[in-house]
Amino acid sequence: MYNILVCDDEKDIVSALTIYLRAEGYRVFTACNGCEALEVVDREDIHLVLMDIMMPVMDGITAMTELRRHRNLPVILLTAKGEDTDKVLGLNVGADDYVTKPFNPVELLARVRSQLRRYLQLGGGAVQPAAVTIGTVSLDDDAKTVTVDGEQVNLTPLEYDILRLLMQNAGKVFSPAEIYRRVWHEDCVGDNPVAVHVRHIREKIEIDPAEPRYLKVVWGKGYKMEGDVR
Amino acid sequence: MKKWLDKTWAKITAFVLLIVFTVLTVAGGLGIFFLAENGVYLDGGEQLQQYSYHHACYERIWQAENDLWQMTGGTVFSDRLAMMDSPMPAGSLPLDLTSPEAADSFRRTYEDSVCSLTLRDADGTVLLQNYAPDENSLYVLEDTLYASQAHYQSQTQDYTLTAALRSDYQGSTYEQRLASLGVRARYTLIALEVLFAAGWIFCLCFTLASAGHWQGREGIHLTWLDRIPADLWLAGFAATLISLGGVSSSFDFYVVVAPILAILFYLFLAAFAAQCKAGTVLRDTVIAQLLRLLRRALRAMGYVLRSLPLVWKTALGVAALLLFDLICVANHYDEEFLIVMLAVNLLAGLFLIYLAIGLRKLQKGGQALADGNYDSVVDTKHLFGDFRRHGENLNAIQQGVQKAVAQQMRSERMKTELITNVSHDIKTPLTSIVNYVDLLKKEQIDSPAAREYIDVLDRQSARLRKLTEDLVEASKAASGAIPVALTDTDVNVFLSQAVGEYRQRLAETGVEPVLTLDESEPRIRADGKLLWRVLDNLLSNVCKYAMPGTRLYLSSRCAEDRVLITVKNVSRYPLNITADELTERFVRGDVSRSTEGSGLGLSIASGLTRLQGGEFRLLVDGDLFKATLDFPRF
Repeated sequence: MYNILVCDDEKDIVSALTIYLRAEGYRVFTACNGCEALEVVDREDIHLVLMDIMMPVMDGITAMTELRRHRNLPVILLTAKGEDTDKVLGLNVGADDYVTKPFNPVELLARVRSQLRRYLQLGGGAVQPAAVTIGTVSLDDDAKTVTVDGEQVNLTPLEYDILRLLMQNAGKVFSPAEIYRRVWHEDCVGDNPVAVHVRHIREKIEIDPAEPRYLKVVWGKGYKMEGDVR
Repeated sequence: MKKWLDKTWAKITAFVLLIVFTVLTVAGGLGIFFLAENGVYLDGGEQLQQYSYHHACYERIWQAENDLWQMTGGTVFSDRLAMMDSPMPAGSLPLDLTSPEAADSFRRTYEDSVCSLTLRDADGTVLLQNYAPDENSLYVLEDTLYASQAHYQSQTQDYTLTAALRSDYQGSTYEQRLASLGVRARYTLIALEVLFAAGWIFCLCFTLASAGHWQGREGIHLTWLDRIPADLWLAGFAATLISLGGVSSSFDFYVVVAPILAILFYLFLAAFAAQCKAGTVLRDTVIAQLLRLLRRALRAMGYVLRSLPLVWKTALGVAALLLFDLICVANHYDEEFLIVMLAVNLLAGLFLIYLAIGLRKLQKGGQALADGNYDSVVDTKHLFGDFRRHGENLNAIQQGVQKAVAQQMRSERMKTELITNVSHDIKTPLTSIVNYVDLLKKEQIDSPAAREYIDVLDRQSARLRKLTEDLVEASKAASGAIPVALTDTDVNVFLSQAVGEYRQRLAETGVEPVLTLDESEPRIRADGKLLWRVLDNLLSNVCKYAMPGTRLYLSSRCAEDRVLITVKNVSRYPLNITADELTERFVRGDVSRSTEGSGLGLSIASGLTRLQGGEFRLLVDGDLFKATLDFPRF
């Protein structure tokens, strides 16, 4: 049973989120501005905070900066500001994730789950020597399995090989032709199927394939894995 | 003192005093000059006195000689008489000088004379004497006489006439008395002269200071005399002096002319002082007035020349050059003319080159404007006349357009800001709607109609959500408020990635993608993320509107230094709308007809392509839809 704090000045959004989170089995606390949120966090044993940015009395960014002084519990920002610069600002001051309004409830719940697992289960968990872990994605080459947020994902052999190549060389950009050569062990003739496979991998490991957290598309160049390597 | 400057009585007094002091100073100066000339300041008047005694004796001797000549009927003769060429006395009998009558007559005649006069013969015997000479005579003068003309010719000295000045001689004439007075008062005279000169300078300064000031008038007032230009005065003086130098130099002439000149010079000084005070001294000179007139004339001529049309000016210039050449050629036997002609033609050629450079500058400026480059300014510093005016006009146009563009950009930005803010406000209630519709869907509702209504709500709220996002993006793409990071991008890799992303959705729509890639692996400068959004919009349109069972042609092609990316497909619906209307829907605010999406996709695609320095072209031919992205090759 995890405790989640929902903080938004819009009452309807708070109650909708409460309904969704309760249905998933979380205990929900609510606050309608940054000050109240800080009080609740001090009083209760909160595991995750969902926070709006634009709020009266104290906005989300200030509240989060305050929170980050002595706590490292996960915070997901919810906001109508969808600009890239706003996202960067939110993540820079310490947010763990960022969801723009209007959001898809299913996606939000997936992100909540992901952050909680990462925070509570994978915090310092033992990692197998043969495994490569990037963020919450880990690949065990001995067992030929891939887990995301602790849940196993089913990949085809080709998809597995592509992901392994990218994860073992995290941060490096591979062009579709090079991926083909390294995975198929022959030169690509005609249409390159790598792009389609990468799309499928993203659909399996990412919460939002259009806004990937780990497997990024470098347009006009290739693909790469990005994130904390552990 | 200052308050008296404009008082009439003070001015008159000062003027009279000035004249008095002038006379006194001149007189004193002449006196001192006379005394100094005669060495009075060196020997205390000795020389002057000797001169005066000599003069007295000389006069007496002269008188006596003349008388003797008369008495002897022209027999007794002297050097002086010979010089005077006196007429022969007639009528009286000649008197014997040795006779007692002669001695008696001589004594009587010169009884009151200031000199003792003694006539001796060659042996030294006294023949005639008025009275015996003083023991301490002031001055003694001797002269030789001859008994006849023949003796004079042979220089046989017969008599000696001696004049001895009496010791109580005081000077007989007015001048002599004045001279002796001068000698006595020679140092007082210098003191007085200094005093006079000081008075003269003071009066002069006062009158000059008062020049231009008049009783009952504020400030400087110029009389007709003061208005005579300074250089006219000077010219008059110069002319007068030159003409006088040629006329006469007699003392009397200068006695009359010098005071007149002095008074005129004083008037000039007064007028000059007044003009200086009024500040008109240079401005009112004849030369300055002439120069002003000349300048005005030149300016008028320049204006006439300037206001002539350029064609006429050129024609005039060419005509003048031809005329000059003609004259030079006519004098071709003279080498110098040919050299001058060559030089002038060379100069004309250089001038033409200079004009051509100016024209080139203007051309560049005009070309820049025509190309839409509103930052370049024509440098008018080295241009002149019509060229400069033309350059300034170009700059004015450039500034006007620049201002208009800046204003449009600003209003575009404001529009973007407004749209962004409004859509932020829309998003919050929309979140609630989306969430509660989703919750409703999960509720157990028996009524099939209610479930259908919920589906409609779901669909429309999704559309509203897409619309708000597209609206913000389209306005940003149009106003350029998106950061662009251009990097080297491989077009072929990009297209294969894009198709890979869409392959599944295309397959669901029933459209088969055909990828034709240029073999030269073209590269362009683009922002990968933005370029993807362009293609994302195009491909999602294909998924929405393409006719199932047809093919989607995606190709990259190089044409010279351009890279073309084309997307071609066949539309499911008739495209009864022009290409321009498709892309500029957002700008024009047309109402979207589509049932799905916002209808802003092409608008966004067009704006984002332009932001990356590319061109976005649409072609609608029947049901064929073709979009072309045109980028410069990297």
